[in-house]
Amino acid sequence: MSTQTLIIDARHQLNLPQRMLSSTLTAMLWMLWFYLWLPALSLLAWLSGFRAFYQQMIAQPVWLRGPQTFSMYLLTLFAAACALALWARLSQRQGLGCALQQGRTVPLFDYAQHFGANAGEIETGRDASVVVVHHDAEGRIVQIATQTVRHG
Amino acid sequence: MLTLFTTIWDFLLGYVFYYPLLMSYLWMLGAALYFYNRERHDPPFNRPPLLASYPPVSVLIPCYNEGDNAEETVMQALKLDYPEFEVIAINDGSRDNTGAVLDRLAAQHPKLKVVHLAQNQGKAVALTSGSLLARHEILLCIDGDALLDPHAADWMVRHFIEHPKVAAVTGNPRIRNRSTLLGRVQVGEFSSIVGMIKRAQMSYGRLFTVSGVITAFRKSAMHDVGYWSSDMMTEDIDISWKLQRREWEIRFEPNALVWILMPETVKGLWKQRLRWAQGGAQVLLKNADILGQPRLASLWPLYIEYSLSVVWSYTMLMLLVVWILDFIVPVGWLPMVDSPIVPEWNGVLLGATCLLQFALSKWLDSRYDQGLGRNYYWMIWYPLVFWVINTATTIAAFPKAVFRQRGQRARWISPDRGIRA
Repeated sequence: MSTQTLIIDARHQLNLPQRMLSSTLTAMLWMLWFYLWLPALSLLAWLSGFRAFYQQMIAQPVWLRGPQTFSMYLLTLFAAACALALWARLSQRQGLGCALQQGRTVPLFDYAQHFGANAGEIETGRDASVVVVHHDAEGRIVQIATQTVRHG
Repeated sequence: MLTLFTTIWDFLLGYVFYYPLLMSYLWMLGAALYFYNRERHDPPFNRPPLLASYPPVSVLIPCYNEGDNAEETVMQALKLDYPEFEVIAINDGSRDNTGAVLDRLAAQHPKLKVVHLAQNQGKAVALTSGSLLARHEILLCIDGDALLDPHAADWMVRHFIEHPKVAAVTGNPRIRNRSTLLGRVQVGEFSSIVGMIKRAQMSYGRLFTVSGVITAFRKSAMHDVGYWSSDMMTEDIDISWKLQRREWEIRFEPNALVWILMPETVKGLWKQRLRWAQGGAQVLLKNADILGQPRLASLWPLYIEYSLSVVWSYTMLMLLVVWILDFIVPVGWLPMVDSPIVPEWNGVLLGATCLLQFALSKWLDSRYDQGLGRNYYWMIWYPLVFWVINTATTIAAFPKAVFRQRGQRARWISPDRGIRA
């Protein structure tokens, strides 16, 4: 099975203005994004106030704040990652609840008891092709009925 | 007093900026580690490795008003390339022709079993009823509109064989509908956010949630925790926490693919995200007690991270309100908030980080979804629009979760499934 056949790209079902709108708006958003990157070319930044722009981009550029800023970022990141990994290793112990169940399949009787259902009905239901399950108002099973189906 | 206020204000400003930045790099680092340690050794997803044994599998498909999708979903599930399996379609009291479609299919395919619920009960009860009537120990659960990859079972079962402590394995949902802008952005989102976070969480120990649209469960583990909760808005987040609280292990398997439909209208997207956020908030409230239990310390980072993201959303809202008020009230009454119109180097850093995260995630998922790189163009909408939607739904969902009556049954919400060809 080619995964490509599962993809639905019915863009032709959109009308021309819809297609144009989404493509154009996306291009505009990229420009807005590049504006973050290329502030020197951005007229808006200058219009918003030369003083603020100058202060942020020229007077206090990030590289003048020293390499210690970046090293602090990196240190924080690695410390957080290591702490999480270490925490995972130390805190994951096999607990009692899980250990009791491991490798144990639950007998039909236990299922029936848990659901308050009839074990015979469950067994018959498991073998049937079509089953109707009735619940009460609280969502508890009250009856499991089977239906016969003729295979074609 | 003023100094304290200024300090708190500066802290909040720093938090709003640094928190997503730190999380983004933590996710990227964690996902890269996961790829290096585990994923890169795997053969292509359509050539799964041979297993030591092939325990039989029951595929559960809960359906509610899936008349348009049920046949395609069931037929695809029946194509599973696995030695022994059964498919169980659960019709949860649908009001459309789902029941008739399933009955017709059951008559044609002996491997298909149909379970009709006499009245609509909600997804959790539907899944629980299906699991009771399943013959096999491994339950592979998918949604009623999801197309299962034929090799998915092999990839998931290997984890259950590997370790008896594994209770659930979640797969890698890929989006089918890519006609509109919303569809295309979500294609990227499922790699950049969903897939990347799951890989990172695997590296750091625990998963916040399995994906309800594709997860395989060990039935005895589900019995141990009392199955899915019928009062939770997102049964998948809840079951993930129930299992991990009992110290069962849940895993992510990127090679187990399922092809899904997502909303392609803003209204549909909003409803879906609001439900997700409400489900997350419900789980947060329900599991607050873990912080007092050292036995569950492995879940603390997940809990704290999710709490911090909720706090972040509210902090953003507060800053936005202050920024707007600043135009109205006299100068000096409120603390300074920089104009978002003036670009700063912080913006450059945040922008670059975002693009880097998209690029890395697309590269990671390109093994499973060909041509994913072409989708990059549309991803620019994610930080500018989807962040806003996700932040807004988080803000709206939390009070809803707080005031929602405990025990109130969660019912199906049929999402919009986008444009069909």
